[in-house]
Amino acid sequence: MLLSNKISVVSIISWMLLIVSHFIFVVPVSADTDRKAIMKYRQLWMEIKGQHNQAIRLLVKYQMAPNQLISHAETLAEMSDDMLFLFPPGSLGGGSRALPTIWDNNGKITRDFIMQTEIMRGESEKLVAIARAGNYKTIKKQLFTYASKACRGCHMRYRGED
Amino acid sequence: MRGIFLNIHSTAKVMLVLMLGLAVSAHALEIESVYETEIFTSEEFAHKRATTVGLDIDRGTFDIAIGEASVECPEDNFPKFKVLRIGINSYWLPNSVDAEDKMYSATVIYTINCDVARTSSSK
Ligand code: HEC
Repeated sequence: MLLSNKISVVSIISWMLLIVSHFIFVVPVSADTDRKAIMKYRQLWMEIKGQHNQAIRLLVKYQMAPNQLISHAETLAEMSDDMLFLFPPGSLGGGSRALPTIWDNNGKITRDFIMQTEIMRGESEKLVAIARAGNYKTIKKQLFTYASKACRGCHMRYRGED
Repeated sequence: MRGIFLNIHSTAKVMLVLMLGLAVSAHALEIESVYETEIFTSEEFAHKRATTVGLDIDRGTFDIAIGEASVECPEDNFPKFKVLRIGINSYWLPNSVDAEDKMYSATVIYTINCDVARTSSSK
């Protein structure tokens, strides 16, 4: 066999593999697609919350735009209620850091995890009230309390390493 | 024809490598921060308070620093804290009359080191 023929055989085989792998990864069973989509959505959702926090942090640091600050806090409070939707049973693995202890043996979200989401709602509502009052020093304090109790509190319990 | 096949194949490989790079991209963040203590009647008291706060910061048990780290790098479960130095401020409050009334606070200057890892977005 000529060298050039060998190369073309190799490249055709690689192409076939590439095409086959496409079918494996792009057209999986639909339940798995849903699970992956919700996990991807969950990551984006978490990142968005993180960015609202950072936006508030910046506005506090430079003591600007109090109205913007209030709307970031309100958005965070509104987002609290989505939490349970983001964690359907079995939505873990495949690069997700969600720990299995979020669910009980029957696949139901545990009471303690629900409590973490309630802490998040409570602390973010406090943040809204304090943001409306407009004292930057107390806003900063509540932002840190909120991030530590609500965000970090849940992460330390239910988010592992990659 | 053969050449095109080979080229596209290697482009695919490059893209795969790029995508992998994106998936695991993480970078470290270092933030310098300051905590100011309450105001005291002597430098000594202010320094003492700052020393206690500093120990808590170093141990990672100081709430304000933890909250700050949770805002700055929400991806990292274990941010690290290190006290760099302690400073002293002096004040005369509005009702003070002489040097005896001078008041003091301390500032604890520290760093937060943490990882900013994006697993999903292109950052
Ligand atoms: C009730 C529990 C809970 C609360 C409250 C919570 N998180 Fe999370 N967070 C998680 C879990 C679990 C993960 C891991 C999800 C995964 O990898 O599938 C996560 C992941 C993240 C990530 C990483 C996303 C990525 O790209 O992989 C960020 C950023 C984040 N959270 C920010 C926040 C912020 C900011 C808050 C507070 C405003 C918050 N979270 C509140 C449970 C929570």
